[in-house]
Amino acid sequence: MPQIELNNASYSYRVGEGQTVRALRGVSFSVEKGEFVALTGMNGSGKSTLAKLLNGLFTPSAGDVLIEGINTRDEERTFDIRRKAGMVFQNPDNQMVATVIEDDVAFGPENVGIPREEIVERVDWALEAVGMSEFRKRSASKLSGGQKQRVAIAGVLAMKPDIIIFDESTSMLDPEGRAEIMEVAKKLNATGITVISITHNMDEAAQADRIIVLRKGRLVLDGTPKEVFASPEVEACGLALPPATELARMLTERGFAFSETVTDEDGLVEGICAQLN
Amino acid sequence: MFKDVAFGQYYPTGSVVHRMDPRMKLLLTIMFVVAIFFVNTYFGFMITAAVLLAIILIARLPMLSVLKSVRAIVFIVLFASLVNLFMIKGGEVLWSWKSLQITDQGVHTTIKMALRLVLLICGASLLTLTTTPVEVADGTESLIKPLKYIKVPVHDIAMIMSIALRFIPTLFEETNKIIAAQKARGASFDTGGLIARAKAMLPVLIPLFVNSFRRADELAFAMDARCYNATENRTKMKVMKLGAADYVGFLLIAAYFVAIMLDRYYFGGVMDSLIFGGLV
Ligand SMILES: Nc1ncnc2c1ncn2[C@@H]1O[C@H](COP(=O)(O)OP(=O)(O)O)[C@@H](O)[C@H]1O
Ligand SMILES: [Mg+2]
Repeated sequence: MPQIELNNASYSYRVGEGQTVRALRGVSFSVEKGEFVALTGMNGSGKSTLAKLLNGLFTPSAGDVLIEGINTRDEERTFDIRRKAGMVFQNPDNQMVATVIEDDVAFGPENVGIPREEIVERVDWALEAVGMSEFRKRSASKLSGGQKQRVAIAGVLAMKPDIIIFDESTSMLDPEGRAEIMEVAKKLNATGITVISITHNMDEAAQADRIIVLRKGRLVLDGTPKEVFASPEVEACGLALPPATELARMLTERGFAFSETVTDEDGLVEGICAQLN
Repeated sequence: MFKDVAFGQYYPTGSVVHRMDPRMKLLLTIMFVVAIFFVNTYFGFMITAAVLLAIILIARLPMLSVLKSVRAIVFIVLFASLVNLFMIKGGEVLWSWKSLQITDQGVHTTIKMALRLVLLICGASLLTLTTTPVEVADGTESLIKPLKYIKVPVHDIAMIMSIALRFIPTLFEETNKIIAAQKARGASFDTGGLIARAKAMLPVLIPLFVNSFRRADELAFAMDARCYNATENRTKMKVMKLGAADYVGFLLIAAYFVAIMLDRYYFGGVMDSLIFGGLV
């Protein structure tokens, strides 16, 4: 059984009388445990809507979303689903509940009634995992954006999730902050946590095992970074290729031949060297 | 430009007073505030000052930090003193000019009122200097918990308090950003009369409001995503526990309370005339 399964899931926002915006239209895919999936697409293509379907913040208007076999329509299991699938949002300031960092990390476990001693252990462990232990007693307002996002990740980790969804969690950060968060995400993925990372940054997407591309609420591409970047549809989806891929494509037009699609600088260097020899 | 609200006036020294249970500190502050309204002799004020001084020393607070909070009420005290001085009549007339009159009772009442206000603020500031706002909020939640039996939504109130505390610095930062953005477009905030200035604030307040609603919306999703539910099943990581210092503190303030009551209802002004002789 796949860990995440979408069967023809659609979602419409109601806006005013009888008016709806169809944000997702019949999306189906499944994700296995431990995958690192990048979800991308233009602004308004439905990425955030899809993310909110994955932990039951929204239930699909049609179709089904199953998390470890549990249908998100099952209201009795809503909290089980939210414990399994944690979510880190875009704006680090708008997802922190408590002033003191350790209190914020404890918020989730407190909500689900974990005993006190265990909360303390989980908070210690989660802050350690994101490298924020020394800040635990401090107030969040003095942290950098990257540090705030790491606290937000710790807050999700304290729920011991199987899946973490990042909804453009790096988009408001400086390059350093982005790198910090990507590193944490990869580290967590290495421990077996499934990562769904929504991003506009193709360099980030290139580091995933798999890229899913949405366009106007429909799933249009789903494959490894090499497959997706090689697809002629990429540009129609409004995506800018990573600089290395773009350069390789231009070189190809001028007669270079790369044995496989380039996704990063290393691949580019190797490809060029192979030609020169 | 402003101190972190999370710590407010908090002056960390790690003293035993700082480490006391916030619930006890709140309770003792309330007891102190009640007691000080019963003080009506100079002897009573001396005891009060001595108790405050003892706490300041134990908490290792610099005198200046306590006096700073008094500075905020200097004008109120001066104004109230002037009014009292001329309005209260009784006893010997010490000075008079046309219909204005100062009497000896007026002088005593005024001095006592000023002392009461100043000592009251000193006492209250001892709480905020040794306790973070977050601790005060947690302590308040715990103290008002019994009210849930009369259907007061204690947990919701506590949640609102803690979110408000959390967002004050964020909104403050945002206000500064919007002001800077409007200034860059040529807005001016410090010229013109009161009305012109108030009007100039409008282009700041509107985006601030709109953004606050957006923030509230996002925060609600973030809280839901972390399984927020205001039910009884919630647990708390931090449990407050009374320690030896709390009991000692309680005894100290209780003794002070009793002393004040004895001074007022049993000794009357005896101690004052013993100490100050004919002056009072
Ligand atoms: N709360 C809402 N009410 C109405 N329409 C919305 C709302 N949120 C998003 N939409 C619309 O749904 C579509 C998908 O939005 P979203 O999932 O936020 O896209 P993305 O995250 O990819 O930018 C967009 O057309 C957007 O305008
Ligand atoms: Mg989005």
